[in-house]
Amino acid sequence: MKRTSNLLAGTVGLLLAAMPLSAWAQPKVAITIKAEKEVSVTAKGKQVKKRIAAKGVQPGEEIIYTLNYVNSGTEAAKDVVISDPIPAGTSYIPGSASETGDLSFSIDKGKTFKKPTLLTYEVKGSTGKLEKKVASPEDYTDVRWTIPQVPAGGKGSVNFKVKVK
Amino acid sequence: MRAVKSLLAPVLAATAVLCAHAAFASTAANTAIVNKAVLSYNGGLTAESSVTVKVDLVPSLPNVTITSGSGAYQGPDTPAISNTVTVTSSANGPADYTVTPSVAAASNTTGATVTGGANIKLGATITAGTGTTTSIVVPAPIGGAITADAEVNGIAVNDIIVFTVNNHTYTPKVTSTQYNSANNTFTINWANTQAIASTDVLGAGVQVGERQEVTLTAKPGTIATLGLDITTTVKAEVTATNFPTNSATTAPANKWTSTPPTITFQKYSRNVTSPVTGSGTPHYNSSIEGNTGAGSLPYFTGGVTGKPDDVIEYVIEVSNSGSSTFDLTTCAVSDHIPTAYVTDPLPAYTGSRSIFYIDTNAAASTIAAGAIGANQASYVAGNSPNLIVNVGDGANATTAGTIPIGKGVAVAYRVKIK
Repeated sequence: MKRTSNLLAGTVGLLLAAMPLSAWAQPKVAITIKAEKEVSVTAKGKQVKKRIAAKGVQPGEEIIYTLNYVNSGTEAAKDVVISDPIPAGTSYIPGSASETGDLSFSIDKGKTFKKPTLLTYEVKGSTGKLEKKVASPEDYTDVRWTIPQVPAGGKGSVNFKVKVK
Repeated sequence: MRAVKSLLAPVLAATAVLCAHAAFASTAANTAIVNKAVLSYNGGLTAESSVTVKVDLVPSLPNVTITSGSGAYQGPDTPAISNTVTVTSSANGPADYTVTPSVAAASNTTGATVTGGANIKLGATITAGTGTTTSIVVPAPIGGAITADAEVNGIAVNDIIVFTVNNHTYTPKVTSTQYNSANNTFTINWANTQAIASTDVLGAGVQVGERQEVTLTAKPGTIATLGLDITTTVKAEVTATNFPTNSATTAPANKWTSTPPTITFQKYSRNVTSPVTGSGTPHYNSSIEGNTGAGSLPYFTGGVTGKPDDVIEYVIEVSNSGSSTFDLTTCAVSDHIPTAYVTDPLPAYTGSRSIFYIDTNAAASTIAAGAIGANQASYVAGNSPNLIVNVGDGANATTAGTIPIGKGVAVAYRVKIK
């Protein structure tokens, strides 16, 4: 039994040695998400705003979501897409999403993404004809960032704010 | 804004363009706001991360009302009147409330009280979906049970919940709760007999509070003036930690009516030495010593005539009659004997005593009159009044007695005209 194992190990070792190095180089991207809120604190007699972890929030408060990504692989990650549905019970705060890569939004729960000015829906007007309306930020259901490439060892972050309804 | 969106909703559905859901007016406490992001790269590799934030309780003034009542005063602290305090939560989540009653104002009484304060837990939530005529959809609270009929943000089976839609306020009684795993919500149900109008079916964002009642016991204390009504205004203060205080007072105030007692009080006289017909209505009282049998002489309300050395007998009769519910307490008969014209009371009755007395049980006795506090009857010539007789049940040398409803007493004495 022991002899058989040694034979197998030798065979595997030969196979690995014969493979090109490029086959091992690959990206490995991880993402973490952080929820924070801003509070006012008094420091040295002055009121300053400070970000703290948002464990609990009240309706009307804002949550700042920060999505950190890092490529710990040995090769660049291509066509990186970060999709984040706007959480239920909140609404997107206009202009709060970081302009990283290609930023787009959805109003159909992630089926399609477009730039804000192109996000439209149709509604019957007073004349009975269908009219196009530009969606308002509170109609957004998802936010998406498309980043062409994250180099090996590279990292970055995107963020956006929502308001608790 | 929500109304406009509701109107738009069918149109958008018809055009098959998915758009925004109805806006929340608020979000229920303990709701989990879950953000789950997905990162994809290289045409198929993915990574995920999520974070959950809990919605906190937002203190909000509870709605408080209180009832008042009325009754007929029968005696100290009797009868009690019940006041019902109704507390309805308007917050976005459950909270413990304390109901503290007090007497804010009282008239014609001393010692009015109110008891029955209590601690109550009121559930509350905000709808998170579209319900039916017999149900609402609310978020499942973080950490709450997800079993059938589980308590949802303090709202449990048999609780009365309150919500207002289209200016209609409904107060159904919860019959069951049901967890919906697909969207982490609960459906709260009530009976068909309490179905709401189909046009009032709740969408998302409507506050739903629990209503509870606390029964207070208001007592009138001791009346100050019989015959005048007692009023007390009860106040109920409702507090919860970090909540603004709300309170309500009875309006109109509790009222105890008091029927004035009817007292019959009459003084009569007759000339014992030379019987004459006096003025006024003749009145007979054969229970007075010396005025019995066939020779009984009438007394007169308007007085009699007499000449010096004639003996005049006075009788004072008192009774508690009429529709009053009160005994007459602290009763004493006093008189002013005009000593310029007549003598002091004569020791004319058994035992050479000067006062003849018939008690509330019609039992006769004679009393010696002397210094104040020495006997049940006192006579001090120089005082005004100079004759005082404590009468009624329990009367003695130092205590005035009680004349119960329907009972009476009589006091008689004789003087000689100077």
